[in-house]
Amino acid sequence: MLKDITLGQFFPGNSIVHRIDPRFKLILTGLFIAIVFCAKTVAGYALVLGLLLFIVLNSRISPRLIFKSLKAIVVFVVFTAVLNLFFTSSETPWFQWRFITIGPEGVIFAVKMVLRIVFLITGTSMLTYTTSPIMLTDAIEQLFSPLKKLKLPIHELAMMMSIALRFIPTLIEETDKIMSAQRSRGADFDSGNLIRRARSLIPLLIPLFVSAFRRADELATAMESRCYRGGEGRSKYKVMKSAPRDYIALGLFVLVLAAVIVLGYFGIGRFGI
Amino acid sequence: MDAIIRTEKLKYSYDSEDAGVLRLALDGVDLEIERGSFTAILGHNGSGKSTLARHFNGIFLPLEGAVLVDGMNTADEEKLYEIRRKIGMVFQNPDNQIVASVVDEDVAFAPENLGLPREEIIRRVDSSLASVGMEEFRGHAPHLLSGGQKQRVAIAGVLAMRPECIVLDEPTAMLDPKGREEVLSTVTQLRKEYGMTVVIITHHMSEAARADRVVVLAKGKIHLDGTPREVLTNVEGLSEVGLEAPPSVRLILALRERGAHIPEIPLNDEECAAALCRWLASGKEGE
Amino acid sequence: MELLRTEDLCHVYGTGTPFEHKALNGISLSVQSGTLTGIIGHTGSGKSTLVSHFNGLLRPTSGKVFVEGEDIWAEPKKIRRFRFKVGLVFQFPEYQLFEDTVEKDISFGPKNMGLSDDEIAHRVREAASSVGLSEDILKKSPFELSGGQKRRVAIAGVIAMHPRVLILDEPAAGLDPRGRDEVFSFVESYLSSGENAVIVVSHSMDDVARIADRIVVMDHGGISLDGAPRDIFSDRATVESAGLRLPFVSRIMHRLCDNGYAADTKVCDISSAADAIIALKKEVR
Repeated sequence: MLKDITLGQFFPGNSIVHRIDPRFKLILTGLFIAIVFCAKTVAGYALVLGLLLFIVLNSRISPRLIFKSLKAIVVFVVFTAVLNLFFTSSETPWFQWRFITIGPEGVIFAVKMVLRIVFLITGTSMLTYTTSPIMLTDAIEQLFSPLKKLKLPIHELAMMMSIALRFIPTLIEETDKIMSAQRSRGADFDSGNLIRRARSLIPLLIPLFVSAFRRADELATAMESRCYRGGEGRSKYKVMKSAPRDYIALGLFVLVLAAVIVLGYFGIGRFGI
Repeated sequence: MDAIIRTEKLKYSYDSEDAGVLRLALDGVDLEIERGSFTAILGHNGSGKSTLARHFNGIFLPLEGAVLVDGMNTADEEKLYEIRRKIGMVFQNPDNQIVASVVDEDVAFAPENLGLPREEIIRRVDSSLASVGMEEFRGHAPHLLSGGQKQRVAIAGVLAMRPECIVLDEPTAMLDPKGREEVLSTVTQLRKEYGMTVVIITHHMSEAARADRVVVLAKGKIHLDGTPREVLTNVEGLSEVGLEAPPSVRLILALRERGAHIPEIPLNDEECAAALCRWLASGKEGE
Repeated sequence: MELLRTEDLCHVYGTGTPFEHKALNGISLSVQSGTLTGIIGHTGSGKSTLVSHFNGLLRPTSGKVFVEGEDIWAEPKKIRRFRFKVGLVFQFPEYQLFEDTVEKDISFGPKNMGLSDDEIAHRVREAASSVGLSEDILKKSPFELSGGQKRRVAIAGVIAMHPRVLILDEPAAGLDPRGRDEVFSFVESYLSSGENAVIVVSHSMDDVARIADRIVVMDHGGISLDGAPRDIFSDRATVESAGLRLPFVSRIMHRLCDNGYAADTKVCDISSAADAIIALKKEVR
């Protein structure tokens, strides 16, 4: 069911991960992405996994929820794995037919890609899981506020993002409802070829768009009624104060980044058969 | 009368001016909402009641006539901000008026827009949540709340502006009976505690019965205006515009038709049962 | 004739997760043709989950659903044909309209049934007129209609499939009294042939009292009362413990009983309540 998609949601809590300054969390997420891409060796991947487990455990978010969020990207992961498995050239192939090659290099590469995607998705979704969208947007707004001088609409972009996140669960619920309603009229979303399936989505997408526009319109009215007039003159309910733990986390991430780079450079714990 | 909202010969149309014939959604409404009063605006769908409500804080501007809030004209763009702070608006669909993903952050939205100092925002968030009885949900995600709870959060979000008047546009239309009761008792509470001016737009007779003034709107005009007792017992006047008197009124009238002499017309269950008991008992001693 | 039957129907959401929730707990129920059943329960009582089983939108965790005597899950691949036999109209159905004309939208269901164009055209007109929509509306876009008209279009879209059982979830939600009466009157007229059955799901006894000839009260995923409205309304304790409110007349009659009068708590409408109270007065004398 669509309701099971937890990607991008926020799970309120009071863990240390929740309490880290969102601005730092944004930077840490950036560092995490860098770490994942710099990891080249088995030891490097192990280090990333260790860091990720450390974050997940400290966030006190049920691993079950995290697995659920991965379910949403299963198709994508499998697709990537198969692609790498079949199309990586190999010096010692086990199987070859036309342009399909299966060999140890493919297997290693597929495993690496899958791990990388899982790490990236899990790591970056830890940001949205533990940071309320408004805090996140505030953080983005503050981090990027120097760009306002270049007349970039930072506040507006941040507000748009936060509203989009706020409405994800609402729209997912709505999609579920409309699907059930159209199924009740005999709609078939699950069979036929690709074109047929795409066509079968029309009775779902049109009502969904109509509804999204209606919601947007009503929300805009409600926001104006509550004296919203853009970012100018707005004050903040939740202010961000950095604490020692934020710097400690930052230090830890920089250390891990350095470690994976060093491991990669010296080729310690290289992938191989 | 000390009016917080006054409309003068208000006309409005959804058609554009060059469309030729204008179908008027509001056709000359003269209405004064007294400070501290509790007014219900009643009407069937399409009577213009929501259109009227949207003029009270300048979401819609009159085609003709004027709307004055505390003496300020809603057409005066410079006053619009002040008008919106004075008139809090709660809408029908609770989902489409909650901006933030956490309850307390949503309540803080309006005070943030007003640019208030942080300590004041915190004070207002706390007191507004307390007024609607939602303190324990302050850290919750709104989409996991029930309809009634969401609507109470929306009310708290408006209260945080410290408005002088709250306008609720069909706040219970999408709620179940439990949610409806939650919202109505919250409104009653606000009346009791702060003497807040309240305008509620509705088509439920039971909701109108709680107000101290009922205005019936039909075809963009004021059709009836008076105390709930005057308006809700006017069976003919109501049925002319497709509304039905509350069941207690209909029951007493049905009894009168059958020859019963019941003097009072009750507006709710308690009054109705009491009136019937008095009438049933009156016979015992008489004969 | 029995159109619909459930046997010990259970449904559990999120099996094996910490959110595991038993939404339906052994529902056995049978619906006969020519009847109008009201299923009443507060939010979360399981009533919407129950009706989603009637046309196979949800699959029972255990237990069975029979439509016209057939086990609908005997061949899961053929589940779609039961969607046409049991028509389900959701709450706020106007939000599911999608075609550019009313006519096309109503014909979506019949088209999915694979009917001929002539038959579809015939059914669309018939369904539209049965919900009080005039011919000229058929060519309009559903998005330019009023809320009440949109709802009729959506209901016509299900009626056009000629379901043997027509189910409506909160058909009167958000409508004013006039709109509500109109919806209920054409819902009732769907029964006139005597071959079909109608089920109305609601949390308001007042709405259902005037049209239903049977009421099923749901609470905590089970059936707490099942019977004729008059018998349900006389059982105040059970109705209230299910988190529901009796219709106005019943509430008044129960209050009279509380005050020591032998009032008839089985009355369902205002005029019979008035008759009963007049009779009571005579007795008192």
